[in-house]
Amino acid sequence: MSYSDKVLEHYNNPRNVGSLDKKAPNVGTGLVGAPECGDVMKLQIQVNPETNVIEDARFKTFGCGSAIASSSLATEWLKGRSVDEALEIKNTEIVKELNLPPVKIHCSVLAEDAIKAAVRDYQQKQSETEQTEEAAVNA
Amino acid sequence: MQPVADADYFSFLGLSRRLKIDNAELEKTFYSLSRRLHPDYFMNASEQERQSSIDRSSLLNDAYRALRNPVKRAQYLLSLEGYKEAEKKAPSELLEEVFELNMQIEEMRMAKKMGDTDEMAEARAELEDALASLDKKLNEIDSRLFALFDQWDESLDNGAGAEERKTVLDRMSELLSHRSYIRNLVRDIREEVSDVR
Repeated sequence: MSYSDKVLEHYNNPRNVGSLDKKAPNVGTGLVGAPECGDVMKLQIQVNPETNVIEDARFKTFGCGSAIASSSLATEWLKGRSVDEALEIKNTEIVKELNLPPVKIHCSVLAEDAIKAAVRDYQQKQSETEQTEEAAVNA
Repeated sequence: MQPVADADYFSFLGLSRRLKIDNAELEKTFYSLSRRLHPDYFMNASEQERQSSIDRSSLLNDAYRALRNPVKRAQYLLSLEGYKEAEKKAPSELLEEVFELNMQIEEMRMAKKMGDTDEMAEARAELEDALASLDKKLNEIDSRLFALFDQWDESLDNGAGAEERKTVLDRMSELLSHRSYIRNLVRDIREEVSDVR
């Protein structure tokens, strides 16, 4: 099977590979996988808690070229968006942008799942911080 | 005989949807049906009958292949029972482990590329340890899976309700998904440590 030019481009020059501090309160981490092919994708966002805007995004994916390209593209799209806007990213947009064939659609789904998981993780951390702050105020 | 299109593998082979199957018995059924359906017997039959013998022979082969292996059999049962795609949810510890071991595989590849023999030996030792523990995990999963086979068969035998059967199938689907992660990982690690250069 041949990859589209855009997939190859991301595969050869992946954007934003790496990791952010998992323990930081303003970093959300999403770790998802696909059991059939054994792919695992880690996607992280760093959010400005004042503005709710994603300032940085990183990924590390073990998997096929389409999975790498999908997550690379996702980090590009995430930077500068608000957390709510991040949740609006649909896998179908990734499919369209990368010209993914039907057998590789699950890679884009994985990227969407990773975004959602990262945002969820961030939101959970935020609500925990708020609770501790409230507790501190009420104490 | 029922039309090919309606037949599932179990009923095609005259079996209930039980998961404990005697493989010797299954093989016998396979060979006897193979002979009966063999296209050679239909040389002088009508075009329609000949085509039907070809279709059935191929269905028989698929059925035998899917049912003779216990893991494939369970996967097939799940697909019949409406589980369309593999269960994606995995415990985060499992995903973390898969991720970490993939990092180690990558380190091994890097060490090979750089020709760093110390680094290579270290990475290899780590991966071999991991392999041993993954093999153990796989065995545990398989014994849990076979226990679920018994539960499933019992639920069929005593006419358990849909809800109880679904509980068993949900757990089976989850376990097969964990198994799949580990199998893929074991395959990748084996490839890396066996490849001595």
